[in-house]
Amino acid sequence: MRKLVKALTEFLILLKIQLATFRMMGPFALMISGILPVGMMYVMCTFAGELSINQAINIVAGSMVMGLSNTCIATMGQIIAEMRLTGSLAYYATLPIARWRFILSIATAYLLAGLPSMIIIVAMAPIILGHTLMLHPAMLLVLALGATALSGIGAAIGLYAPSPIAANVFSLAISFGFVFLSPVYYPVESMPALLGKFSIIVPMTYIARALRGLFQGQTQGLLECLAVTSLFALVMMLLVQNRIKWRER
Amino acid sequence: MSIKLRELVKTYSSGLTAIENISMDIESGEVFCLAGPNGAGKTTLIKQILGLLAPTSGTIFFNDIDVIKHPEKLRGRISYMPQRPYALYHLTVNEAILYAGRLRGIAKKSAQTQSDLIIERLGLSSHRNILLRKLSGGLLQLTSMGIASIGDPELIVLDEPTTHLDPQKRQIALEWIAALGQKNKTVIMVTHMLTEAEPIVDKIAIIKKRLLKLGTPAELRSSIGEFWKAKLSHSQNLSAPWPEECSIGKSTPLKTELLFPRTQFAQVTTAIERLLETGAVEDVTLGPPGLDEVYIALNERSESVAEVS
Repeated sequence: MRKLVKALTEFLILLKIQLATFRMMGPFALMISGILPVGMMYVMCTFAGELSINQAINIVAGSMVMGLSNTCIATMGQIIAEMRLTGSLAYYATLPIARWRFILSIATAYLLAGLPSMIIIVAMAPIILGHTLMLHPAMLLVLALGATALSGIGAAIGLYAPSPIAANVFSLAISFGFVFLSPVYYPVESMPALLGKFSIIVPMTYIARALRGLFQGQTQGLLECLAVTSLFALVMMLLVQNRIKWRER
Repeated sequence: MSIKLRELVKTYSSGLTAIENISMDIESGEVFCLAGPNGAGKTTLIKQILGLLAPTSGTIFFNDIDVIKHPEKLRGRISYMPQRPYALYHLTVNEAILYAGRLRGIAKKSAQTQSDLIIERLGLSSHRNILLRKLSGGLLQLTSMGIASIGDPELIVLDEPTTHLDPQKRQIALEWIAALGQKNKTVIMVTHMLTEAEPIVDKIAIIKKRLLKLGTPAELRSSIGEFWKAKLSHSQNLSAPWPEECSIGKSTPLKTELLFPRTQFAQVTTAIERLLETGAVEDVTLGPPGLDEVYIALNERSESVAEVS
């Protein structure tokens, strides 16, 4: 019990430190993070014409997974690479803290910062898409597990990329690649067979599937998605803790 | 915590050798100064000592801990803060020191008490609620020192802790570092300001990829032989034919610092007298050299040795 309290305290302090970075960005960041996905949703809707409820759900769930992926892979990769460059990572590496909690604190901070934009997406959906979507508390669990699973990938890129610019390029390529090569914006049935098979090993597949179900108020298949996402999250955090080296080469 | 470095070598994958066969001991409770010109390998050596960079060969031991094999065993026992504490840049002074303590495992109340004390002793009370990114360079360095000191680290590594400080704050910083040494903390400070650090330093290592000299300030001073320093003030550019053994230290168009061996005392003072008579030199001060001059002399010697070889 004492270990759990210590771990939670450590995580919360790390989270406070990471959240403090938003002091600088303030309302501007919220505005950008809210306007961009809503704008993208509007553009997609304009091109697609009148949408069925399923299409609307695909767009909203896809946008949320895209945002999550950008935050946890692209942003994380760049942040860790910049931390290496400025010596911040060296500071954290000398502290008696768990690496996975450090990585998770960054992901959580950005996830919390991104939540308003996700709320805006859902709130604007009836106006832009013409359909009201259902909300379910389990969405938070899906997003949290998804963030944990994806942030390990971002951290690995940040630690191994030769520079922050390289980290940015690699992480964006991987983030966009995973999103567009897996059933995030569209169902797996509409994908080529080979990509369909590939999507089995991509965590975004399960995050998007869980969100789509929850937007329709369905919990069927939710447990399976949560179990697989948890497994991805566990494996990624074990890799971060045990395999990724903070020591320079 | 005593540190033993043996035959350390670091060659990067690019082929650049940053450290060549450095061996030295740093004793527990010592205030140890690491000096060397830019690109001498100071940062590389510090990172190796902290277990953040694996050497190509050689060994590093903290007491009985093999740093190369088990760098994770050092975490919590060591404290490092780079010149700019970017990791905590968006926090206030109080938050940065407090959270640094909390992450070192100190209970909240105790961490706040320690933080308050550090803030007061470092003269940061009127800045405690200011964000680090809004502080001046000097205040940021003092805060950085406070962050590194909180908790109970056995080894504290400070990277150029006095560089941007005004004389008053520099005094506060030096007294703070001396107090850490008195509490039996091992302090490694990287600095170029040897003369001002001298009163608080137990041992100095001058490196330039390899170890040029290691010893107490007195040992370093005697290592360059019996030297004298002359500070000359002049109203125009000085082009005097000094003996070959003389080396020119810090100089400006109107001031020249001259370092010369005792054996050259008569020749140099005669030359200075002539310059005084002609009015080319207006004022002169003679005395033993400071550690900065010792550093320059050792550095120049290593360059001439390198040129010969």
